[in-house]
Amino acid sequence: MNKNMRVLGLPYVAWMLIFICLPIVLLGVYSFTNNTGNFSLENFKSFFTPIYIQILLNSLYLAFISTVICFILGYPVAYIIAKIPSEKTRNTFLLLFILPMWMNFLLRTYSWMTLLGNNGLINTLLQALSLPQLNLLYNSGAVLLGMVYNFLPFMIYPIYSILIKIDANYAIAAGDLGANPRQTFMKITFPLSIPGVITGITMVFMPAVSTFVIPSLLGGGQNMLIGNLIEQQLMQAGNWHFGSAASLIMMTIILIAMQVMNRFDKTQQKNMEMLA
Amino acid sequence: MKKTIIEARNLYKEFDKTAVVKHINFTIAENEFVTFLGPSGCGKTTILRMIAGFEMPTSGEIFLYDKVINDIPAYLRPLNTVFQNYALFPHMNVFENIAFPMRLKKQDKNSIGKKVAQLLDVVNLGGYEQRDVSSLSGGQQQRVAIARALANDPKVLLLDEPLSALDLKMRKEMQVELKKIQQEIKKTFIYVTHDQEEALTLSDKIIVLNHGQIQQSGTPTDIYNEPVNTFVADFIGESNIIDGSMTKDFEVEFLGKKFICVDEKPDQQTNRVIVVIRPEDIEIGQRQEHTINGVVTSIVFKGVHYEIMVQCNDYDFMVHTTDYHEIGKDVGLDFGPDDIHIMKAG
Repeated sequence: MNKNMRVLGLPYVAWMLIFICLPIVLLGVYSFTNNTGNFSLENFKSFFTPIYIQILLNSLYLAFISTVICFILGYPVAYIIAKIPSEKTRNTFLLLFILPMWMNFLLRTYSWMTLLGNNGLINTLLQALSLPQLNLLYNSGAVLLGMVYNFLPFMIYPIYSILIKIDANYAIAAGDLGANPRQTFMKITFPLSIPGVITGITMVFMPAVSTFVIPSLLGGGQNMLIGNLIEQQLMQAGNWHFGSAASLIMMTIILIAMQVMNRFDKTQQKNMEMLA
Repeated sequence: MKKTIIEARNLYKEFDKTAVVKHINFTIAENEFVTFLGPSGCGKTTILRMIAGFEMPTSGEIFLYDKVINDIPAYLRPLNTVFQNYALFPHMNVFENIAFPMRLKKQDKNSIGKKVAQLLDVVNLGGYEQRDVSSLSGGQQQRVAIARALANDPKVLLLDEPLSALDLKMRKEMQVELKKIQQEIKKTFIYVTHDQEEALTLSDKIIVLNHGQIQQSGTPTDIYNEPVNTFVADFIGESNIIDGSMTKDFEVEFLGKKFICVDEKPDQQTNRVIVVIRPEDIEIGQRQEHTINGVVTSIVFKGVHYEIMVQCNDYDFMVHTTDYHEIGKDVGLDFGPDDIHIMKAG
């Protein structure tokens, strides 16, 4: 790299230092100090108590379930769209699934409240049909629904983009060699699409585990997740030290999850080179 | 007479109302090496894909022995294909690729291992089992693709321009190899190519196609020596194609000279005929009474022979000879009766 190129890179270095490195350092400093500014492990100690562990586990559990649901719903959608022969129709269908993402995230989540609430659309309809009302809002189910709804496109898109790149000849060759359509999918198409699945899982799991808007709006505060905890500590309780420690713990968990995913991805990488 | 293994009757295929294969008939015998030869867009690959089961004929039948196989899906046909781009599965190594069809049949591990090793020996890749397919050269990938296609002991092996992605030297090597494999395993090979030399080298029988129709089918010698029309004459090897006329059998006149030939008058309605003469059948030398006279306009060295262009009044002859004749030299061209091929005027 020559000198000029290095100069061009400086703004980005500055950006990274100010907006990425510095906040992380601050996060570290806050989480390892107490109110008086002295070094302390107190924040971590208080995090690892049953109540907070429960919140952490609950977050991971809901994020995991919503990722699984997104995968179960998203893979067939991506597969069906990728199989459409006309490129125009394909892009239209893809757009229909991506379109909600063009709307504000908060707005989309609020609109679910008006659908699910006690005086919401669904319950009004039930009432009109003289059926008993349902408790749809402010529970784990509503949080899960919100997560799946908001993050489903993040699953569909990467899987679709891998599926569309897989050479159709592989499936034809598998058929030629005696594989029926189911075997062709299980042994050829699906294994070749795993890199997209991994990207999809990563892109759904990470925002799902850290979201605080969805649980606070649709969960109604009864379902506190780690995102809510951090938000509450930082914004309401004003306990930056404890909030930072919780953030650091969540970051560590996400980093570990990413590392595990990358390991899967590595074994697939050489396959991707062949696909390109 | 050998037993017929594949037969097409009135086979027709159209894509978007455009006919690609037009009511053709052919038979392929057991253990024969048959090549469909033609320029791109002649329908040869479509025919192969219909035999394999990747395309459905619009009308007509394909027989395997005496059974119509039109409605049998590809995965149930006892035929296997070697693809132009190999289509080796990138997430499997060499062993897994070749074992794939046997795994589907739930064969036991020991016999799969043995069979893979044996197939790799056939294609000269012994010991390559654990190699990654992406680490192999084009020629090696092609051999793996052949081994994989043979793993199920197909009745017929279909090859779709399998050598077109290889460089010239590799292609020549693989031609020899392919012929050897075919003779070794004694199976029917159906081969598709646009390379006439490849077709002549490999085949027991060549089916020449143009615009979805069979132009000629026969042994390489027949096709080369006795092309039935100017398309075949022009497509297979180099040809001089000249307008001529015949007033009686065994005598043809062209470029103002009369020649004795071995063909009868092809069309009683008209005297017009087309004369085809191969460049290597022309003798080039001194001008004489009976020769066609001209001037050398170019000479190119082709390795084994020179390719000389000779301008004779209004026709430029191409001549292949081992003798050197400098540009501007006056020469006479001579041909024997056997060298003159008469065809019906289009």
